[in-house]
Amino acid sequence: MKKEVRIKISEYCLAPESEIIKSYGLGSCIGLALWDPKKKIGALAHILLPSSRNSRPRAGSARYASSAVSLMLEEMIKAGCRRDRLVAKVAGGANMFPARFNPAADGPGLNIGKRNIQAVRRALARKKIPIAGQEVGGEIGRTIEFNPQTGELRVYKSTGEVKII
Amino acid sequence: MKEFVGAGLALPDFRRGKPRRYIKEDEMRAEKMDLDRVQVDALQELCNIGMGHATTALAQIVGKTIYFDVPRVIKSNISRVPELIGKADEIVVGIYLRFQGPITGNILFIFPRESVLLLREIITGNKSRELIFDEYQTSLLKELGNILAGSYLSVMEKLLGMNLIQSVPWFAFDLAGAIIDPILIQLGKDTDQIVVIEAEFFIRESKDLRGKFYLLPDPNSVLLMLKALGLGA
Repeated sequence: MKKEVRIKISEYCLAPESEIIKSYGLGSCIGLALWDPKKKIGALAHILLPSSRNSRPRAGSARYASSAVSLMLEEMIKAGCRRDRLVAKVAGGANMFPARFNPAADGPGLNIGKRNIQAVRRALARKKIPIAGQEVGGEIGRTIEFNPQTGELRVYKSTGEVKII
Repeated sequence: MKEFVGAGLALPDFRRGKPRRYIKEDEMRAEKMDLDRVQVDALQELCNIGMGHATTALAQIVGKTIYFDVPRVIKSNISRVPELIGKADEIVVGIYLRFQGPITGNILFIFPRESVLLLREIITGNKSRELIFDEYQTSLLKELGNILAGSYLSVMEKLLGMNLIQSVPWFAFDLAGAIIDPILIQLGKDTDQIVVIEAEFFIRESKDLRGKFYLLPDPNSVLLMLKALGLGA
């Protein structure tokens, strides 16, 4: 049995191939996995918000898409990974309360799930990390499990389906 | 010598002559926001009275006595809120409303699967064990949330002397952690530490009908609420 590491909102974690990283109950949040296929080192982050531009709290955590990507990248390079080998997998970014979109009351683009997805894609593109697989959007919650040995990201949807990307 | 450890109590350690505090970590009494004991009690009492009204409304709908536990006022880091709500990977029904006015915030009801079945049976007489949320059933639950939140907010209006407007209710049937996500995102824009006021309600005859009520005021609104109660800094 592999050791399981559990990450919470705005946390991220690096794991060797002997471990599995899990994150429970992703709604509009994003689970971002980075993987080095040769070193078999993986990292998983649970991202809450797209960017820290309008936000006050400290930016140095995996809470924001942009800071999460650069933090993870930095840690992975420290651990001996190479940037040109890294691939990314993305899950989450759902719209949990579909009828919620109300431009008059809440301003444009309240669909935070979509904005989160875009922000993660942009942040990855900036660092030139390709997205190898994704399971995003929709109106369902997801629990994810990342295995750095195989690079598999298992997505358990709340509907009972399991998707491996 | 036997050691007495009580959660949430401050016990002096006489042997070493320095005070020791036994406070469960997730119940850290609002330290960064500088809420003192009196302020926490005031928020608790506000919720207590509000829950009294809301559960009375629910009791009238289901025709059974509803009990509720003493509300808890919890200051927590955003990343720990899903744990407070329960198992993040448990599938539950969530009904979510926002309220606006001089203070703003979020109200969330969480019902476990069994409770929803029972609620539906009591209200509509439908005995089926299947959970299919068609338009009628989601509307039923939303309306229930609307009534509960309405009676709760009317108490807050009276006690705080404010006019509050509630949004339409939103409905989700999903992982508890996923349901709370959009609310945390809303709150997480401004702060790390938030105040969660939680109360659990149930009927005594059967453990199956139970639900949780959450009041998550926006960060600035907590102080405004205290000010309105005459406890502002």
